[in-house]
Amino acid sequence: MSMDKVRFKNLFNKHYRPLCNYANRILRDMDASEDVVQDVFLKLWNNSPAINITSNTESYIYTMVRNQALGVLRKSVSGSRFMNEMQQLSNHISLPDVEEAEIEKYQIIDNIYVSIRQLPPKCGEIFTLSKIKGLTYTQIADRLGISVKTVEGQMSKAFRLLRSMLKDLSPFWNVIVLFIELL
Amino acid sequence: MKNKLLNFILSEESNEERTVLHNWKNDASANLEGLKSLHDEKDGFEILRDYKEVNTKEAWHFVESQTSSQWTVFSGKLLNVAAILVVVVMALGGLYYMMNSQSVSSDNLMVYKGITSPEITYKDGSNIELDKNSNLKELNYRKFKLDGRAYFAVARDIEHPFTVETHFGTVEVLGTAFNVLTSVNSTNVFVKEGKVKVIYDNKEHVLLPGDYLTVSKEGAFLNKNPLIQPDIWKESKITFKNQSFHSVMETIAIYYNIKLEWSENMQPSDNCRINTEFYKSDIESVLKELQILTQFQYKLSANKIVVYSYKC
Repeated sequence: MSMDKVRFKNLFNKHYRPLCNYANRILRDMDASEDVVQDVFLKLWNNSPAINITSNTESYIYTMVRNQALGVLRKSVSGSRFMNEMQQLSNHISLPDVEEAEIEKYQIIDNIYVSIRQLPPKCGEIFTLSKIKGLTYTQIADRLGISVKTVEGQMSKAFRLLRSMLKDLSPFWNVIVLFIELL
Repeated sequence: MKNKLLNFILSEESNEERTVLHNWKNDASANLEGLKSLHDEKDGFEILRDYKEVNTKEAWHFVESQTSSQWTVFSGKLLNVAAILVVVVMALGGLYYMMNSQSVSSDNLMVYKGITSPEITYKDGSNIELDKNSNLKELNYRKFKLDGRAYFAVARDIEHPFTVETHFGTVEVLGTAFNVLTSVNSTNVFVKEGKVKVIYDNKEHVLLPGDYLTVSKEGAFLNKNPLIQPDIWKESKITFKNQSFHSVMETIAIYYNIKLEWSENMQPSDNCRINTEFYKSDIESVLKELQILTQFQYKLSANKIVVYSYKC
């Protein structure tokens, strides 16, 4: 089956944000990461108009993004001579393809991220402070000038909403449970 | 009462949670492993903590625009484009010959200079891109004379044929998209889309997409599916992937609008495979980098490159 524009666009929309964040883990620079991902997609289109969209394709794209991001990193680091030589050396060592588990992780996190963003503003803010920034309920209550009870209420509301948002994505159940466990 | 109800709901929810957790642990060991790897490394949380929003829509528009010439084949959005072509005229002292050859008779007719107006939207809707050393003179409605090189995406209008006069022959668009390059030494026409007719010396040559025609004193030479990209000079970046040294040099000659000569006693070889890219580089640095790759010997003067030897 050949890759037409619609399939290419779907692939892009599905993976663009997770890929940018994946590249950003390497580069620590979101602008540069976006450049890398866009470039990879352009290469993908120009070189393989008939590429199949399978799980292998995902691995292929992630691997391309990782390698290109590492390449950018090498160019941008102007370290000591020793470092440069080490980097030169690592140029010649081929890294294995990005594993499916790693890719799935980014997809899961993307799903959670999207779900958190869909929470009502107050609810989402409290959830983020608690679960992502790691503040305690008392700290959140102090910070926002609300009662601890309100924080608790918003948190259980956030969990209920997140569960219902994520429950259709059966492979992602593990993460929901992870959240519950860490509650 | 309200609080009680809330507590009841909450405690029920947490029972449900416990059941879900229990079932999940029992029947999905694969999930458990996934959870463990996430949990142990805490990596997942770090990613989530650092997760940033990016503008997918904007990025898609960019990627789409970069590939738009290919999309047209699929989407048919630009069906009103009759042809896209590139014309190149090489600059060997006579670049401005046509500008001086006759005075502009009517004020309504335009003369475009690439240095000031590289991108032209003609009144019929055609898009024309001129290289900086090029001139395009309007002789009449949809009739031009070109000195230099230009890329045309010609709007469809059967009643008014779109023609480009060059030093060697006249290019006439029959119905799609093309590239034309013309020079005092030769006229090169490359058709990307559509059908183009080149008339020279009372002979007609019909070109189809992918065809590349060179017309010079020696006559007309048609090259089907050339490896070089004759419209590459429009780009700020040149990329070579597994290309022979010969096709790389031909592309560079077109890109920098310079004549390419191979020394007579040179042995051509297909062994050199070039993989590299140049971004807004000048010709000197491009040749220097190629020299590192191929150890080729060359001489660069104002209007030509002579290649003496190379080895890989």
